[in-house]
Amino acid sequence: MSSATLSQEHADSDLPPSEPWSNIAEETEAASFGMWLFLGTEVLFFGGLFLSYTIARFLYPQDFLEAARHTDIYLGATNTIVLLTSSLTMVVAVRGADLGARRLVWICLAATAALGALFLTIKGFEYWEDIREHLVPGRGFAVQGFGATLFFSLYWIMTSVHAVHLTVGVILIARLAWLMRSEPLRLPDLPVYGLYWHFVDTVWIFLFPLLYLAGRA
Amino acid sequence: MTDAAIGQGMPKAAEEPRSYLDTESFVSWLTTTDHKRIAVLYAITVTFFFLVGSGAMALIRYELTSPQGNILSDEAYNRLFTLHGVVMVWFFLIPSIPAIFGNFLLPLMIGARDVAFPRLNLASWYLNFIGGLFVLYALLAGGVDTGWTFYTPLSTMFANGNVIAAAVGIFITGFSSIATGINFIATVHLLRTEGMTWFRLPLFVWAMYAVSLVFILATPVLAITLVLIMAERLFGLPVFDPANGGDPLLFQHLFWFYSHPAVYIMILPAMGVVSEVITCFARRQVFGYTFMVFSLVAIAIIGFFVWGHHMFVSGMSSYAGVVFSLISFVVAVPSAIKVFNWTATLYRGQISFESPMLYALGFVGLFTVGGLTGLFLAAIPVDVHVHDTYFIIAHFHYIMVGGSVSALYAALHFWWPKVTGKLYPENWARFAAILMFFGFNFTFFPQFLVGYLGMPRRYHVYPPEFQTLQVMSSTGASVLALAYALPIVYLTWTLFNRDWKAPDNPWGATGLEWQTSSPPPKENFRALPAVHSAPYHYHETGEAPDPRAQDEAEQ
Amino acid sequence: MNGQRSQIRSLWVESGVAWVALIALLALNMALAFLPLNGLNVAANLFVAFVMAAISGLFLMGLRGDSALVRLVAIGSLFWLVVMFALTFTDYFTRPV
Repeated sequence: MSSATLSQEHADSDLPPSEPWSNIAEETEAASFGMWLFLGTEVLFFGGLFLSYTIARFLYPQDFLEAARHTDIYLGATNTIVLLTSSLTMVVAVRGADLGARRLVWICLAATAALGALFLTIKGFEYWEDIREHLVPGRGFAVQGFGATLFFSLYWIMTSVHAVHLTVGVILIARLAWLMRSEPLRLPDLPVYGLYWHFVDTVWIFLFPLLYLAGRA
Repeated sequence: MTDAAIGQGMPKAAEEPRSYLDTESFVSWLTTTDHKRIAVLYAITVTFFFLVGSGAMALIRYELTSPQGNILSDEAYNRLFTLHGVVMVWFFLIPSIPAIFGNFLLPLMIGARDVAFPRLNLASWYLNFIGGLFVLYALLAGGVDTGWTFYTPLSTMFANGNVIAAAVGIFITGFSSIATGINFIATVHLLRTEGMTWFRLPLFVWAMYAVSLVFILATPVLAITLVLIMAERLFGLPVFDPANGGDPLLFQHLFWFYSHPAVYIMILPAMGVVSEVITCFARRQVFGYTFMVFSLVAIAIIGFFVWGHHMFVSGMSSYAGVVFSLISFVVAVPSAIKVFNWTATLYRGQISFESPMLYALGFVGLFTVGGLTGLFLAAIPVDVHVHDTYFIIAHFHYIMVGGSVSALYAALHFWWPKVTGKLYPENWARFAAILMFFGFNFTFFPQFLVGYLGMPRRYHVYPPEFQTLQVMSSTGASVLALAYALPIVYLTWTLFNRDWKAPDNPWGATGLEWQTSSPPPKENFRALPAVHSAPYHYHETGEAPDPRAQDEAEQ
Repeated sequence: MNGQRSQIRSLWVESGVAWVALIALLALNMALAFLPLNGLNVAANLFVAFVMAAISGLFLMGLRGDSALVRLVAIGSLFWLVVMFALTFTDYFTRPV
């Protein structure tokens, strides 16, 4: 169910449209379009990282894949499940808003933020472990070879950039959840937050096999 | 949403809505969401950065009058041309026409009351300005010596300077570009007034749309490249470092993937301006409107496929070089189409040489020279000879300065009455335009010659046989500086002078922006116009000029 | 109120189906990673990832019901990524070894 089918019956109880839009449906369509354009830029932003990964893997296949075996596949998989579940709660929140189910909306938003925070906690623990195992390029780096250095360089950069996006999402979604407990539902905002969150999840869907499943065979 | 078409004249003063310039308070300007006010804010900050970059230019040209260098050490000179490049590219040229005139005119030209996301628009300006201050601080407190191109491994491993601070500032400003791009695309898709179909859009609007596509597809790649520089320099995580298996050329691929489209960001809006001005002062429909539209979009798109032509001598595979060279020849075609069509637009026109027209015609000539020399550079053997010489500098200055800055001044003079409600002294304006044309050629043509003769770029100490040409160039630069300063002076003067009030449509132009008051009211139009005809309807096909505004009904 | 409750229930069911599919594909991806596929592992893993991304895009992000314009934005940005990869690899694939 897309936002374009949003019924007008919500118009009275919800916030009025912002300028220059004359009704909520128009504003929601515009906001979603704007967020899709922004996600397009994010595809290219992460794309630069994926390109760097591909080239490093292309140049030094053996040590690259050897190094990839050192990532913690269990923590990675757990985090993937956490993030996929947060996408479930997010989509219910967004579509629940169309149904006017305020309580469902803010609880699911809060759950999404909480799961996101859980992801970051697990990731933090994983980082601590990686540091303990000397998997940071530089002095004392535990794995040999150019490919290994590049792999872990990219591992740290790619997961950090993703984590920053996730953190921004968690903060904004938690704030929205807090506001939605008492204020009228902000109908144009919800699909926008949803799109961003699903995108961050989708990036992880690609990061997981590239960083955790590589070189396992 | 739309009402009846606007009639010929505006009602009496008693009924006139308040101009957008009427201000309640200074603070209201800093919290405005009115696209017109945001455009004015940009005009102020962009002019500031133009002055900073020009100051650097003056110092550079002075330094180069003597073969041994006059007043600067090698290190200081490196920081100076870096400052000049960074400020002029990111804080002057890239925002100039889109952020000032795009913001002001886009909603007016399509018959809307504002852009799609007004609050995001204000955020855009703050990001641009804050990023700019950040970068300025980095460049002045210690400086950056890598050149605006930040090549690795110099920038990540060996450069002494504020590379990280500069990178952070440019990163922040990048979001300003992205936000503007998103805003413009959504605005053009969703807020066109009744009757304003895609192929009735003025070419300036198409230019804003095309440049917005480039903004959103290219800028993020610059952003991630800056992140990678920061990761390598700040956290020691190698990506480009050859000692750890990294490839410095990867930096160049990523950097130029953005920076070549960036030069199209700098030229597409200028082309939009020129189309508006030439049609008006030749009193002609534009020749080949559809081809003009497709050329704008083609330049935007094909511009993404040519970045490797900056890397012919970098050590990149020569086969890749051939691919990029071929596509670089192709990208010249739509630009050439535009030049032919502007020329053809003049045919049988009733041409008058007001100052905007002088600047626009100057654009066509100077852009053509710059563009043709680009074709020379697309040929790999020629590029091998002139790469990193003054030939390259002359090439891109012909396009960016001879082209874009001329168009910026054309836009400034053409729309000044609309934005400020004031006219300006036409004789001074014509003088400045002509002075600029001569000063420009005097400055930059010698650089083609001295570059071809072998003078490298980014050097302040050079063989004495080049001095004559360098002194010529610096002399020309003084004339050029005067020509740029003059309009800033007399235009500012008109703001404080009561006598130069402008009518709604001083030029008798056909765009929707001219069918509202000068300056426009806050809500742009009393009643949103409905469009009945194609743009530039200065005459019936085959007949003498008889300008009909886009929203006038057929007689 | 009952109408809303049943709508909410079917919302959870529809979304839950997508979630189950994604988890199952995750498990599949992990299994594929350990199979000796002679260098094709990465292709298989990426293929599964694409399917997961497609499910996310179509069923969670609303691309199935959205306008052609939005779908063009999604596909266009991916296409641009392909261009970036392809032209960069004209260099890396053709370098002398």
